Amino acid sequence: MKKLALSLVALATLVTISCKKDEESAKSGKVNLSFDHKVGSEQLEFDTLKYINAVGHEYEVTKLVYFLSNITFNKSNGTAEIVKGPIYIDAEDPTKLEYNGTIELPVGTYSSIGVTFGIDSNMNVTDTLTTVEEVAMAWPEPMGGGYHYMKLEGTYDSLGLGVIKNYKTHTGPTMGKPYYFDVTFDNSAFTINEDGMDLTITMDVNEWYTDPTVYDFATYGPAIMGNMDAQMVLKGNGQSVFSVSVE
Amino acid sequence: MAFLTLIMGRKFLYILIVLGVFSCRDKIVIDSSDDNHTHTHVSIEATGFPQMPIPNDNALSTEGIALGRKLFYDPILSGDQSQSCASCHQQSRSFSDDKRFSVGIDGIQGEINASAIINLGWNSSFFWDGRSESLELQAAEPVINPIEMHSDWGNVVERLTNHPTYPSEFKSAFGTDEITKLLVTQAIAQFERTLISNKSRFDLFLQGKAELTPLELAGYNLFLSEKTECFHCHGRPLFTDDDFHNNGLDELPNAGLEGVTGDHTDRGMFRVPTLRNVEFTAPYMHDGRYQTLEQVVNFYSDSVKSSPTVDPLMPNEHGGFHLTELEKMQLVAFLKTLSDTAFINNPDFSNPF
Repeated sequence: MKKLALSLVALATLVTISCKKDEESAKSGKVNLSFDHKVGSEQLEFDTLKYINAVGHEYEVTKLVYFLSNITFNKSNGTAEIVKGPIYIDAEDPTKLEYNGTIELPVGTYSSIGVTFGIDSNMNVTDTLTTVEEVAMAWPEPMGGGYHYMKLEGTYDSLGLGVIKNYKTHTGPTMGKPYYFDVTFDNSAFTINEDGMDLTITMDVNEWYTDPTVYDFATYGPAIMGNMDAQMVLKGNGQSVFSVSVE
Repeated sequence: MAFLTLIMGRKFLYILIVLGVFSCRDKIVIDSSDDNHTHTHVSIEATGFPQMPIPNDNALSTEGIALGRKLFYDPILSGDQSQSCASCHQQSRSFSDDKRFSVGIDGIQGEINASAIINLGWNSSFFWDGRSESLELQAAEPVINPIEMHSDWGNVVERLTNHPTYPSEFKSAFGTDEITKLLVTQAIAQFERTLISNKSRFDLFLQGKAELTPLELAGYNLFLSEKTECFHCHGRPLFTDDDFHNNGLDELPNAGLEGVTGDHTDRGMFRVPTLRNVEFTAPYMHDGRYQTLEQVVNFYSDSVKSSPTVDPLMPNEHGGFHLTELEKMQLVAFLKTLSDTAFINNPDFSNPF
Protein backbone atom coordinates (compact mmCIF):
# COMPACT_ATOMS: atom_id res chain seq x y z
CA MET A 1 0.00 0.00 0.00
CA LYS A 2 2.86 2.29 0.96
CA LYS A 3 4.60 1.42 -2.32
CA LEU A 4 1.43 2.21 -4.20
CA ALA A 5 1.15 5.57 -2.44
CA LEU A 6 4.77 6.39 -3.24
CA SER A 7 4.22 5.35 -6.83
CA LEU A 8 1.20 7.59 -7.11
CA VAL A 9 3.18 10.50 -5.67
CA ALA A 10 6.01 9.80 -8.08
CA LEU A 11 3.58 9.55 -10.97
CA ALA A 12 1.89 12.77 -9.93
CA THR A 13 5.29 14.46 -9.73
CA LEU A 14 6.24 13.19 -13.18
CA VAL A 15 2.94 14.36 -14.59
CA THR A 16 3.47 17.77 -12.97
CA ILE A 17 6.99 18.06 -14.36
CA SER A 18 5.83 16.85 -17.70
CA CYS A 19 3.07 19.43 -17.74
CA LYS A 20 5.50 22.18 -16.78
CA LYS A 21 7.81 21.17 -19.60
CA ASP A 22 4.88 21.11 -22.02
CA GLU A 23 3.78 24.53 -20.83
CA GLU A 24 7.28 25.91 -21.34
CA SER A 25 7.68 24.38 -24.75
CA ALA A 26 4.21 25.59 -25.75
CA LYS A 27 5.15 29.20 -25.06
CA SER A 28 5.22 31.22 -28.21
CA GLY A 29 5.61 34.73 -29.48
CA LYS A 30 3.73 36.42 -32.27
CA VAL A 31 5.62 37.69 -35.31
CA ASN A 32 4.18 40.80 -36.95
CA LEU A 33 5.43 40.53 -40.52
CA SER A 34 5.45 43.58 -42.77
CA PHE A 35 6.98 44.58 -46.08
CA ASP A 36 8.80 47.74 -47.02
CA HIS A 37 10.14 49.10 -50.30
CA LYS A 38 13.04 51.42 -50.93
CA VAL A 39 15.14 52.69 -53.79
CA GLY A 40 18.62 52.92 -52.36
CA SER A 41 18.15 54.70 -49.07
CA GLU A 42 14.90 56.42 -50.11
CA GLN A 43 11.40 55.18 -49.45
CA LEU A 44 9.83 54.05 -52.74
CA GLU A 45 7.56 56.71 -54.20
CA PHE A 46 5.35 55.75 -57.12
CA ASP A 47 4.81 57.65 -60.38
CA THR A 48 7.82 59.93 -60.06
CA LEU A 49 10.60 59.84 -62.62
CA LYS A 50 13.42 60.48 -60.22
CA TYR A 51 15.35 57.29 -59.55
CA ILE A 52 18.64 56.48 -61.25
CA ASN A 53 19.64 52.91 -61.99
CA ALA A 54 23.12 51.52 -62.47
CA VAL A 55 23.04 52.24 -66.20
CA GLY A 56 22.28 55.87 -65.47
CA HIS A 57 18.68 55.80 -66.68
CA GLU A 58 16.22 57.94 -64.82
CA TYR A 59 13.18 55.77 -64.04
CA GLU A 60 9.87 55.69 -62.23
CA VAL A 61 7.86 52.85 -60.72
CA THR A 62 4.15 52.68 -61.51
CA LYS A 63 3.41 49.17 -60.23
CA LEU A 64 5.09 46.70 -57.90
CA VAL A 65 3.33 43.48 -56.94
CA TYR A 66 4.99 40.18 -56.11
CA PHE A 67 4.92 36.96 -54.14
CA LEU A 68 7.13 35.79 -51.31
CA SER A 69 6.89 32.27 -49.97
CA ASN A 70 8.58 29.95 -47.47
CA ILE A 71 9.32 32.54 -44.81
CA THR A 72 11.74 30.39 -42.83
CA PHE A 73 12.93 30.74 -39.25
CA ASN A 74 15.96 28.47 -38.85
CA LYS A 75 17.20 27.05 -35.58
CA SER A 76 20.79 26.07 -34.92
CA ASN A 77 19.76 22.43 -34.45
CA GLY A 78 18.76 22.24 -38.10
CA THR A 79 15.01 22.49 -37.58
CA ALA A 80 12.93 25.37 -38.87
CA GLU A 81 9.51 26.99 -38.64
CA ILE A 82 8.16 27.79 -42.11
CA VAL A 83 5.31 29.96 -43.30
CA LYS A 84 4.78 28.54 -46.75
CA GLY A 85 2.49 31.18 -48.27
CA PRO A 86 2.66 32.34 -50.98
CA ILE A 87 2.13 35.85 -49.69
CA TYR A 88 0.88 38.47 -52.18
CA ILE A 89 2.37 41.93 -51.70
CA ASP A 90 1.27 45.15 -53.42
CA ALA A 91 3.76 47.88 -52.59
CA GLU A 92 1.18 50.56 -53.39
CA ASP A 93 -1.63 49.13 -51.25
CA PRO A 94 -1.23 49.71 -47.49
CA THR A 95 -3.52 46.76 -46.77
CA LYS A 96 -1.09 44.45 -48.56
CA LEU A 97 2.01 45.60 -46.70
CA GLU A 98 1.30 43.56 -43.58
CA TYR A 99 0.89 39.81 -43.53
CA ASN A 100 -2.68 39.19 -42.42
CA GLY A 101 -2.16 35.61 -41.30
CA THR A 102 -0.91 34.59 -37.86
CA ILE A 103 2.70 33.64 -37.22
CA GLU A 104 3.41 32.17 -33.77
CA LEU A 105 6.96 31.02 -33.12
CA PRO A 106 8.01 28.88 -30.15
CA VAL A 107 10.01 31.16 -27.85
CA GLY A 108 13.75 30.75 -28.12
CA THR A 109 16.73 31.64 -30.21
CA TYR A 110 16.84 31.28 -33.98
CA SER A 111 19.97 31.25 -36.08
CA SER A 112 18.69 32.90 -39.27
CA ILE A 113 15.75 33.98 -41.40
CA GLY A 114 15.19 32.98 -45.00
CA VAL A 115 12.65 33.59 -47.73
CA THR A 116 11.80 32.41 -51.23
CA PHE A 117 11.31 35.17 -53.77
CA GLY A 118 8.33 34.23 -55.92
CA ILE A 119 6.64 30.88 -55.57
CA ASP A 120 8.58 27.64 -55.52
CA SER A 121 7.80 25.17 -58.27
CA ASN A 122 5.85 22.81 -56.00
CA MET A 123 3.30 25.53 -55.27
CA ASN A 124 3.42 27.45 -58.54
CA VAL A 125 0.61 25.63 -60.30
CA THR A 126 -2.01 27.21 -62.57
CA ASP A 127 -5.45 27.76 -61.06
CA THR A 128 -4.47 27.06 -57.45
CA LEU A 129 -4.60 30.59 -56.05
CA THR A 130 -7.98 32.00 -55.19
CA THR A 131 -8.20 35.76 -54.71
CA VAL A 132 -8.84 38.13 -57.60
CA GLU A 133 -5.46 39.81 -57.05
CA GLU A 134 -3.60 36.53 -57.00
CA VAL A 135 -5.45 35.27 -60.06
CA ALA A 136 -4.39 38.44 -61.90
CA MET A 137 -0.78 37.26 -61.44
CA ALA A 138 -1.34 34.24 -63.70
CA TRP A 139 1.56 33.30 -65.97
CA PRO A 140 0.23 32.05 -69.32
CA GLU A 141 0.33 28.31 -69.89
CA PRO A 142 2.21 28.59 -73.22
CA MET A 143 5.00 30.32 -71.29
CA GLY A 144 5.11 27.72 -68.56
CA GLY A 145 1.97 28.27 -66.49
CA GLY A 146 1.65 29.08 -62.80
CA TYR A 147 1.94 32.67 -61.61
CA HIS A 148 4.24 35.65 -62.02
CA TYR A 149 6.77 36.04 -59.24
CA MET A 150 6.74 39.81 -59.69
CA LYS A 151 5.35 42.62 -61.82
CA LEU A 152 7.58 45.68 -61.53
CA GLU A 153 6.59 48.28 -64.12
CA GLY A 154 7.24 51.86 -65.05
CA THR A 155 8.95 54.13 -67.51
CA TYR A 156 12.47 55.37 -67.99
CA ASP A 157 14.20 58.18 -69.81
CA SER A 158 16.45 56.28 -72.15
CA LEU A 159 18.61 59.16 -73.31
CA GLY A 160 18.17 61.71 -70.58
CA LEU A 161 16.42 63.84 -73.17
CA GLY A 162 12.84 63.15 -72.22
CA VAL A 163 12.50 60.14 -74.53
CA ILE A 164 10.28 58.03 -72.29
CA LYS A 165 10.07 54.28 -72.77
CA ASN A 166 8.38 51.52 -70.84
CA TYR A 167 9.91 48.74 -68.81
CA LYS A 168 8.13 45.69 -67.45
CA THR A 169 10.25 43.66 -65.10
CA HIS A 170 7.97 40.66 -65.02
CA THR A 171 9.61 37.60 -63.56
CA GLY A 172 8.27 34.08 -63.35
CA PRO A 173 8.70 30.51 -64.52
CA THR A 174 9.75 31.32 -68.07
CA MET A 175 9.12 28.31 -70.31
CA GLY A 176 8.50 26.26 -67.19
CA LYS A 177 12.00 26.86 -65.82
CA PRO A 178 12.30 27.92 -62.19
CA TYR A 179 13.66 31.41 -61.67
CA TYR A 180 12.52 31.80 -58.08
CA PHE A 181 15.32 31.89 -55.56
CA ASP A 182 15.95 31.41 -51.87
CA VAL A 183 17.67 33.98 -49.71
CA THR A 184 19.03 33.34 -46.22
CA PHE A 185 19.82 36.66 -44.62
CA ASP A 186 23.22 37.30 -43.04
CA ASN A 187 23.23 38.35 -39.40
CA SER A 188 19.55 37.57 -38.97
CA ALA A 189 19.79 35.54 -35.75
CA PHE A 190 17.23 36.58 -33.15
CA THR A 191 15.61 35.58 -29.90
CA ILE A 192 11.86 35.72 -29.49
CA ASN A 193 9.98 35.70 -26.22
CA GLU A 194 6.27 35.81 -25.42
CA ASP A 195 6.15 39.52 -26.18
CA GLY A 196 6.64 38.67 -29.84
CA MET A 197 8.48 40.77 -32.38
CA ASP A 198 8.16 42.84 -35.52
CA LEU A 199 9.83 41.50 -38.64
CA THR A 200 10.19 43.67 -41.73
CA ILE A 201 11.31 42.40 -45.12
CA THR A 202 12.57 45.25 -47.27
CA MET A 203 13.05 45.31 -51.03
CA ASP A 204 15.54 47.73 -52.57
CA VAL A 205 14.19 48.18 -56.11
CA ASN A 206 17.48 49.46 -57.49
CA GLU A 207 19.20 46.22 -56.56
CA TRP A 208 17.26 44.36 -59.25
CA TYR A 209 19.29 46.26 -61.81
CA THR A 210 22.80 45.85 -60.46
CA ASP A 211 25.09 43.51 -58.53
CA PRO A 212 26.46 41.36 -59.89
CA THR A 213 25.11 42.23 -63.37
CA VAL A 214 24.11 45.66 -64.58
CA TYR A 215 20.66 45.32 -66.12
CA ASP A 216 19.92 47.73 -68.94
CA PHE A 217 16.24 48.17 -69.81
CA ALA A 218 17.24 48.92 -73.40
CA THR A 219 19.19 45.67 -73.79
CA TYR A 220 16.36 43.36 -72.85
CA GLY A 221 13.41 45.45 -74.05
CA PRO A 222 10.04 45.73 -72.36
CA ALA A 223 8.90 42.13 -72.92
CA ILE A 224 11.03 39.71 -70.91
CA MET A 225 8.61 36.98 -69.92
CA GLY A 226 10.04 34.75 -72.61
CA ASN A 227 13.62 35.91 -72.18
CA MET A 228 15.62 33.41 -70.17
CA ASP A 229 18.74 35.57 -70.17
CA ALA A 230 16.88 38.45 -68.57
CA GLN A 231 15.26 36.15 -66.05
CA MET A 232 18.63 34.68 -65.12
CA VAL A 233 20.22 38.10 -64.62
CA LEU A 234 17.33 39.20 -62.41
CA LYS A 235 17.53 35.97 -60.43
CA GLY A 236 21.20 36.58 -59.83
CA ASN A 237 20.72 40.22 -58.90
CA GLY A 238 17.84 39.28 -56.62
CA GLN A 239 20.15 37.88 -53.97
CA SER A 240 20.96 41.40 -52.79
CA VAL A 241 17.46 42.87 -53.24
CA PHE A 242 15.99 41.91 -49.87
CA SER A 243 16.99 42.60 -46.30
CA VAL A 244 15.33 41.95 -42.96
CA SER A 245 15.08 43.79 -39.68
CA VAL A 246 13.79 42.48 -36.37
CA GLU A 247 12.56 44.59 -33.46
CA MET B 1 -48.84 27.05 -53.87
CA ALA B 2 -50.54 27.08 -50.48
CA PHE B 3 -51.50 23.46 -51.02
CA LEU B 4 -47.89 22.59 -51.81
CA THR B 5 -46.72 24.41 -48.73
CA LEU B 6 -49.08 22.44 -46.57
CA ILE B 7 -47.93 19.14 -47.98
CA MET B 8 -44.18 19.70 -48.13
CA GLY B 9 -43.45 22.14 -45.36
CA ARG B 10 -42.13 25.60 -45.88
CA LYS B 11 -38.44 24.79 -45.59
CA PHE B 12 -38.58 21.97 -48.14
CA LEU B 13 -40.46 24.23 -50.51
CA TYR B 14 -37.76 26.85 -50.26
CA ILE B 15 -35.16 24.28 -51.14
CA LEU B 16 -37.14 23.28 -54.20
CA ILE B 17 -37.48 26.92 -55.18
CA VAL B 18 -33.76 27.43 -54.80
CA LEU B 19 -32.93 24.37 -56.84
CA GLY B 20 -35.32 25.54 -59.51
CA VAL B 21 -34.05 29.09 -59.60
CA PHE B 22 -30.40 28.12 -59.62
CA SER B 23 -30.48 24.92 -61.57
CA CYS B 24 -28.18 26.42 -64.21
CA ARG B 25 -25.50 27.47 -61.75
CA ASP B 26 -22.60 25.45 -60.51
CA LYS B 27 -23.06 24.87 -56.85
CA ILE B 28 -25.59 26.14 -54.41
CA VAL B 29 -25.08 25.89 -50.69
CA ILE B 30 -28.21 26.28 -48.64
CA ASP B 31 -28.07 26.50 -44.90
CA SER B 32 -31.82 27.06 -44.52
CA SER B 33 -31.17 28.82 -41.24
CA ASP B 34 -34.30 30.66 -40.31
CA ASP B 35 -33.12 33.18 -37.77
CA ASN B 36 -35.85 35.65 -37.00
CA HIS B 37 -37.59 35.34 -40.32
CA THR B 38 -38.05 32.83 -43.04
CA HIS B 39 -35.42 33.61 -45.65
CA THR B 40 -33.02 31.04 -47.00
CA HIS B 41 -29.32 31.82 -47.23
CA VAL B 42 -27.63 31.08 -50.52
CA SER B 43 -23.98 31.05 -51.49
CA ILE B 44 -22.72 30.65 -55.01
CA GLU B 45 -19.57 28.92 -56.12
CA ALA B 46 -18.78 29.33 -59.81
CA THR B 47 -16.55 26.76 -61.47
CA GLY B 48 -13.12 28.13 -62.26
CA PHE B 49 -13.71 31.45 -60.52
CA PRO B 50 -12.29 32.77 -57.25
CA GLN B 51 -14.53 32.69 -54.20
CA MET B 52 -16.98 35.58 -54.50
CA PRO B 53 -16.63 38.03 -51.61
CA ILE B 54 -20.03 38.71 -50.06
CA PRO B 55 -20.49 41.64 -47.65
CA ASN B 56 -21.14 40.51 -44.08
CA ASP B 57 -24.24 42.68 -43.88
CA ASN B 58 -25.83 41.48 -47.11
CA ALA B 59 -25.78 37.70 -47.29
CA LEU B 60 -27.59 36.32 -50.31
CA SER B 61 -31.01 34.79 -49.84
CA THR B 62 -33.54 33.42 -52.31
CA GLU B 63 -35.99 36.09 -51.21
CA GLY B 64 -33.45 38.90 -51.45
CA ILE B 65 -32.37 37.82 -54.92
CA ALA B 66 -35.96 37.55 -56.14
CA LEU B 67 -36.78 40.96 -54.69
CA GLY B 68 -33.67 42.48 -56.26
CA ARG B 69 -34.63 41.05 -59.62
CA LYS B 70 -38.06 42.67 -59.42
CA LEU B 71 -36.61 46.01 -58.37
CA PHE B 72 -34.03 45.83 -61.18
CA TYR B 73 -36.78 45.51 -63.75
CA ASP B 74 -39.35 47.82 -62.12
CA PRO B 75 -39.62 51.40 -63.48
CA ILE B 76 -41.00 52.41 -60.08
CA LEU B 77 -37.45 53.47 -59.20
CA SER B 78 -37.33 56.28 -61.77
CA GLY B 79 -38.78 59.75 -61.35
CA ASP B 80 -41.62 59.38 -63.87
CA GLN B 81 -41.73 55.58 -63.51
CA SER B 82 -40.74 55.16 -67.16
CA GLN B 83 -37.29 53.56 -66.82
CA SER B 84 -35.82 50.73 -64.82
CA CYS B 85 -32.23 49.60 -64.37
CA ALA B 86 -32.92 47.16 -67.19
CA SER B 87 -33.67 50.00 -69.60
CA CYS B 88 -29.93 50.60 -70.01
CA HIS B 89 -28.78 47.16 -68.83
CA GLN B 90 -30.50 44.67 -71.10
CA GLN B 91 -30.00 40.96 -70.65
CA SER B 92 -29.73 40.34 -74.40
CA ARG B 93 -26.71 42.68 -74.42
CA SER B 94 -25.09 41.15 -71.36
CA PHE B 95 -26.82 43.81 -69.28
CA SER B 96 -25.51 46.78 -71.25
CA ASP B 97 -27.19 48.61 -74.13
CA ASP B 98 -26.37 49.32 -77.76
CA LYS B 99 -25.99 53.07 -77.37
CA ARG B 100 -22.80 55.04 -77.11
CA PHE B 101 -24.43 57.02 -74.31
CA SER B 102 -27.70 55.96 -72.73
CA VAL B 103 -30.60 58.41 -72.55
CA GLY B 104 -32.30 59.16 -69.21
CA ILE B 105 -35.97 59.78 -68.42
CA ASP B 106 -35.72 63.45 -69.40
CA GLY B 107 -34.26 62.64 -72.80
CA ILE B 108 -30.80 63.75 -71.74
CA GLN B 109 -27.88 61.73 -73.01
CA GLY B 110 -25.35 60.43 -70.51
CA GLU B 111 -21.64 61.08 -70.64
CA ILE B 112 -20.22 57.59 -70.43
CA ASN B 113 -21.00 54.19 -71.90
CA ALA B 114 -23.29 51.92 -69.87
CA SER B 115 -21.22 49.12 -68.35
CA ALA B 116 -22.19 45.48 -68.72
CA ILE B 117 -23.44 43.94 -65.49
CA ILE B 118 -21.67 40.63 -65.54
CA ASN B 119 -19.59 38.88 -62.90
CA LEU B 120 -19.57 42.08 -60.84
CA GLY B 121 -19.54 40.13 -57.59
CA TRP B 122 -15.76 39.94 -57.91
CA ASN B 123 -15.18 43.64 -58.53
CA SER B 124 -13.65 45.79 -55.83
CA SER B 125 -14.95 49.04 -57.32
CA PHE B 126 -17.71 50.13 -59.68
CA PHE B 127 -18.35 52.62 -62.48
CA TRP B 128 -15.69 53.28 -65.11
CA ASP B 129 -13.91 55.63 -62.71
CA GLY B 130 -14.29 53.31 -59.70
CA ARG B 131 -16.10 55.87 -57.57
CA SER B 132 -18.26 53.30 -55.76
CA GLU B 133 -16.74 50.74 -53.45
CA SER B 134 -19.64 48.31 -53.44
CA LEU B 135 -22.51 47.14 -55.60
CA GLU B 136 -24.87 48.49 -52.94
CA LEU B 137 -23.41 52.00 -53.21
CA GLN B 138 -23.36 51.76 -56.99
CA ALA B 139 -27.04 50.83 -57.14
CA ALA B 140 -28.01 53.97 -55.23
CA GLU B 141 -26.54 56.43 -57.70
CA PRO B 142 -28.42 56.03 -61.04
CA VAL B 143 -31.75 56.35 -59.22
CA ILE B 144 -31.06 59.98 -58.29
CA ASN B 145 -28.77 60.94 -61.16
CA PRO B 146 -30.58 63.81 -62.94
CA ILE B 147 -29.55 62.55 -66.39
CA GLU B 148 -30.52 58.97 -65.67
CA MET B 149 -33.51 57.86 -63.58
CA HIS B 150 -33.82 61.32 -62.01
CA SER B 151 -35.75 60.23 -58.98
CA ASP B 152 -35.57 60.89 -55.27
CA TRP B 153 -34.93 58.20 -52.71
CA GLY B 154 -37.64 59.56 -50.43
CA ASN B 155 -40.21 59.20 -53.22
CA VAL B 156 -38.94 55.76 -54.18
CA VAL B 157 -39.21 54.50 -50.60
CA GLU B 158 -42.69 55.99 -50.29
CA ARG B 159 -43.87 54.33 -53.50
CA LEU B 160 -42.49 50.98 -52.47
CA THR B 161 -43.96 51.29 -48.98
CA ASN B 162 -47.41 51.98 -50.42
CA HIS B 163 -47.11 49.20 -52.98
CA PRO B 164 -49.47 46.22 -52.54
CA THR B 165 -46.75 43.53 -52.53
CA TYR B 166 -43.32 45.05 -51.92
CA PRO B 167 -43.64 45.46 -48.12
CA SER B 168 -44.25 41.74 -47.65
CA GLU B 169 -41.44 40.91 -50.05
CA PHE B 170 -39.02 43.08 -48.07
CA LYS B 171 -40.33 41.37 -44.92
CA SER B 172 -39.47 37.99 -46.43
CA ALA B 173 -36.06 39.12 -47.63
CA PHE B 174 -34.88 41.23 -44.73
CA GLY B 175 -37.25 40.54 -41.83
CA THR B 176 -38.79 43.99 -41.89
CA ASP B 177 -41.43 45.74 -43.96
CA GLU B 178 -39.87 49.10 -43.16
CA ILE B 179 -38.44 49.79 -46.58
CA THR B 180 -35.28 51.89 -46.79
CA LYS B 181 -32.89 53.02 -49.49
CA LEU B 182 -30.29 50.67 -48.02
CA LEU B 183 -32.53 47.62 -48.28
CA VAL B 184 -33.50 48.48 -51.86
CA THR B 185 -29.87 48.69 -52.91
CA GLN B 186 -28.98 45.56 -50.96
CA ALA B 187 -31.69 43.59 -52.78
CA ILE B 188 -30.55 44.85 -56.19
CA ALA B 189 -26.95 44.01 -55.31
CA GLN B 190 -27.97 40.49 -54.32
CA PHE B 191 -29.57 39.95 -57.71
CA GLU B 192 -26.58 41.45 -59.51
CA ARG B 193 -24.21 39.07 -57.70
CA THR B 194 -26.08 36.16 -59.28
CA LEU B 195 -25.43 37.49 -62.80
CA ILE B 196 -22.57 35.10 -63.39
CA SER B 197 -21.31 34.12 -66.80
CA ASN B 198 -18.92 31.17 -66.93
CA LYS B 199 -20.44 28.90 -69.53
CA SER B 200 -19.00 30.24 -72.75
CA ARG B 201 -17.63 27.92 -75.40
CA PHE B 202 -14.17 28.87 -74.16
CA ASP B 203 -15.10 27.59 -70.67
CA LEU B 204 -16.32 24.35 -72.20
CA PHE B 205 -13.07 24.14 -74.15
CA LEU B 206 -11.08 24.42 -70.91
CA GLN B 207 -13.21 21.63 -69.47
CA GLY B 208 -12.57 19.45 -72.51
CA LYS B 209 -16.19 19.62 -73.58
CA ALA B 210 -15.80 21.72 -76.72
CA GLU B 211 -13.30 22.37 -79.47
CA LEU B 212 -11.94 25.67 -80.71
CA THR B 213 -11.21 26.21 -84.37
CA PRO B 214 -7.58 26.68 -85.47
CA LEU B 215 -8.36 30.40 -85.98
CA GLU B 216 -9.75 30.72 -82.44
CA LEU B 217 -6.85 28.78 -80.92
CA ALA B 218 -4.35 30.96 -82.73
CA GLY B 219 -6.19 33.96 -81.33
CA TYR B 220 -6.02 32.53 -77.81
CA ASN B 221 -2.28 31.98 -78.11
CA LEU B 222 -1.85 35.51 -79.42
CA PHE B 223 -3.99 36.79 -76.55
CA LEU B 224 -1.64 35.04 -74.11
CA SER B 225 1.53 36.39 -75.70
CA GLU B 226 3.63 39.46 -75.00
CA LYS B 227 3.03 40.46 -78.59
CA THR B 228 -0.41 41.72 -77.57
CA GLU B 229 -0.22 41.79 -73.75
CA CYS B 230 -4.01 41.20 -73.64
CA PHE B 231 -3.73 38.69 -70.79
CA HIS B 232 -2.15 41.11 -68.35
CA CYS B 233 -5.31 43.21 -68.04
CA HIS B 234 -7.84 40.66 -69.29
CA GLY B 235 -6.58 37.38 -67.89
CA ARG B 236 -8.83 34.45 -67.27
CA PRO B 237 -11.00 33.45 -65.55
CA LEU B 238 -12.64 36.84 -65.09
CA PHE B 239 -10.99 38.45 -68.12
CA THR B 240 -10.39 41.61 -66.11
CA ASP B 241 -7.67 42.34 -63.57
CA ASP B 242 -10.09 44.42 -61.46
CA ASP B 243 -7.72 47.36 -61.84
CA PHE B 244 -7.39 50.70 -63.64
CA HIS B 245 -5.27 51.43 -66.70
CA ASN B 246 -4.79 54.16 -69.26
CA ASN B 247 -4.84 52.13 -72.48
CA GLY B 248 -3.69 55.01 -74.67
CA LEU B 249 -6.94 56.08 -76.31
CA ASP B 250 -5.99 59.77 -76.38
CA GLU B 251 -3.01 62.05 -76.09
CA LEU B 252 -5.16 64.22 -73.80
CA PRO B 253 -7.19 61.59 -71.98
CA ASN B 254 -10.38 62.10 -70.03
CA ALA B 255 -10.03 62.29 -66.25
CA GLY B 256 -11.08 58.73 -65.36
CA LEU B 257 -9.75 57.70 -61.97
CA GLU B 258 -8.19 61.13 -61.49
CA GLY B 259 -11.72 62.50 -61.12
CA VAL B 260 -12.10 60.36 -58.01
CA THR B 261 -8.63 60.46 -56.46
CA GLY B 262 -7.57 63.97 -57.53
CA ASP B 263 -4.18 62.47 -58.36
CA HIS B 264 -2.89 63.63 -61.75
CA THR B 265 -0.97 60.38 -62.14
CA ASP B 266 -4.36 58.61 -62.40
CA ARG B 267 -5.33 60.64 -65.48
CA GLY B 268 -7.01 58.61 -68.19
CA MET B 269 -7.21 55.45 -66.10
CA PHE B 270 -10.46 53.50 -66.30
CA ARG B 271 -11.63 50.22 -64.86
CA VAL B 272 -10.78 47.26 -67.06
CA PRO B 273 -14.05 45.71 -68.26
CA THR B 274 -14.39 41.97 -68.57
CA LEU B 275 -14.10 40.57 -72.08
CA ARG B 276 -16.67 37.89 -71.34
CA ASN B 277 -19.66 38.41 -73.63
CA VAL B 278 -17.83 41.25 -75.32
CA GLU B 279 -19.54 40.23 -78.56
CA PHE B 280 -22.83 41.43 -77.06
CA THR B 281 -21.71 44.71 -75.48
CA ALA B 282 -20.87 47.08 -78.34
CA PRO B 283 -20.09 49.93 -78.50
CA TYR B 284 -16.73 49.74 -76.75
CA MET B 285 -14.47 51.77 -74.45
CA HIS B 286 -15.63 54.09 -71.68
CA ASP B 287 -16.96 56.54 -74.25
CA GLY B 288 -18.34 53.97 -76.65
CA ARG B 289 -16.20 55.28 -79.49
CA TYR B 290 -15.80 51.93 -81.27
CA GLN B 291 -18.74 50.11 -82.78
CA THR B 292 -17.09 46.79 -83.56
CA LEU B 293 -14.49 44.43 -82.14
CA GLU B 294 -12.53 44.86 -85.35
CA GLN B 295 -12.26 48.59 -84.64
CA VAL B 296 -11.06 47.86 -81.11
CA VAL B 297 -8.38 45.48 -82.36
CA ASN B 298 -7.33 48.01 -85.00
CA PHE B 299 -6.90 50.59 -82.26
CA TYR B 300 -4.63 48.34 -80.22
CA SER B 301 -2.73 47.42 -83.36
CA ASP B 302 -2.02 50.85 -84.78
CA SER B 303 -3.48 53.79 -82.88
CA VAL B 304 -2.31 53.71 -79.26
CA LYS B 305 -1.51 57.26 -78.16
CA SER B 306 1.24 58.26 -75.80
CA SER B 307 0.53 60.37 -72.75
CA PRO B 308 2.21 60.80 -69.36
CA THR B 309 0.01 58.18 -67.68
CA VAL B 310 -0.32 55.62 -70.46
CA ASP B 311 0.18 52.17 -69.00
CA PRO B 312 3.63 50.58 -69.39
CA LEU B 313 1.84 47.53 -70.76
CA MET B 314 0.93 49.58 -73.82
CA PRO B 315 3.45 49.97 -76.66
CA ASN B 316 3.49 53.75 -76.60
CA GLU B 317 6.81 53.92 -78.42
CA HIS B 318 5.47 52.68 -81.73
CA GLY B 319 1.75 53.44 -81.73
CA GLY B 320 0.47 49.92 -81.23
CA PHE B 321 1.15 46.20 -81.28
CA HIS B 322 1.27 46.10 -85.07
CA LEU B 323 -0.79 43.05 -85.87
CA THR B 324 -1.24 41.50 -89.28
CA GLU B 325 -4.72 41.24 -90.75
CA LEU B 326 -4.68 37.52 -89.99
CA GLU B 327 -3.72 38.14 -86.38
CA LYS B 328 -6.55 40.64 -86.02
CA MET B 329 -9.00 38.04 -87.33
CA GLN B 330 -7.58 35.47 -84.93
CA LEU B 331 -8.03 37.75 -81.94
CA VAL B 332 -11.61 38.64 -82.83
CA ALA B 333 -12.41 34.97 -83.39
CA PHE B 334 -11.05 34.12 -79.95
CA LEU B 335 -12.96 36.97 -78.28
CA LYS B 336 -16.19 35.58 -79.66
CA THR B 337 -15.55 32.25 -77.93
CA LEU B 338 -16.18 34.14 -74.68
CA SER B 339 -19.83 34.59 -75.60
CA ASP B 340 -22.18 32.90 -73.17
CA THR B 341 -25.58 32.54 -74.81
CA ALA B 342 -26.87 30.60 -71.79
CA PHE B 343 -26.27 33.74 -69.75
CA ILE B 344 -28.15 36.12 -72.01
CA ASN B 345 -31.02 33.66 -72.27
CA ASN B 346 -31.10 32.53 -68.65
CA PRO B 347 -34.73 32.80 -67.49
CA ASP B 348 -33.57 33.40 -63.91
CA PHE B 349 -32.17 36.74 -65.02
CA SER B 350 -35.08 37.83 -67.19
CA ASN B 351 -37.84 40.35 -66.62
CA PRO B 352 -40.17 38.87 -63.98
CA PHE B 353 -43.09 41.13 -64.88
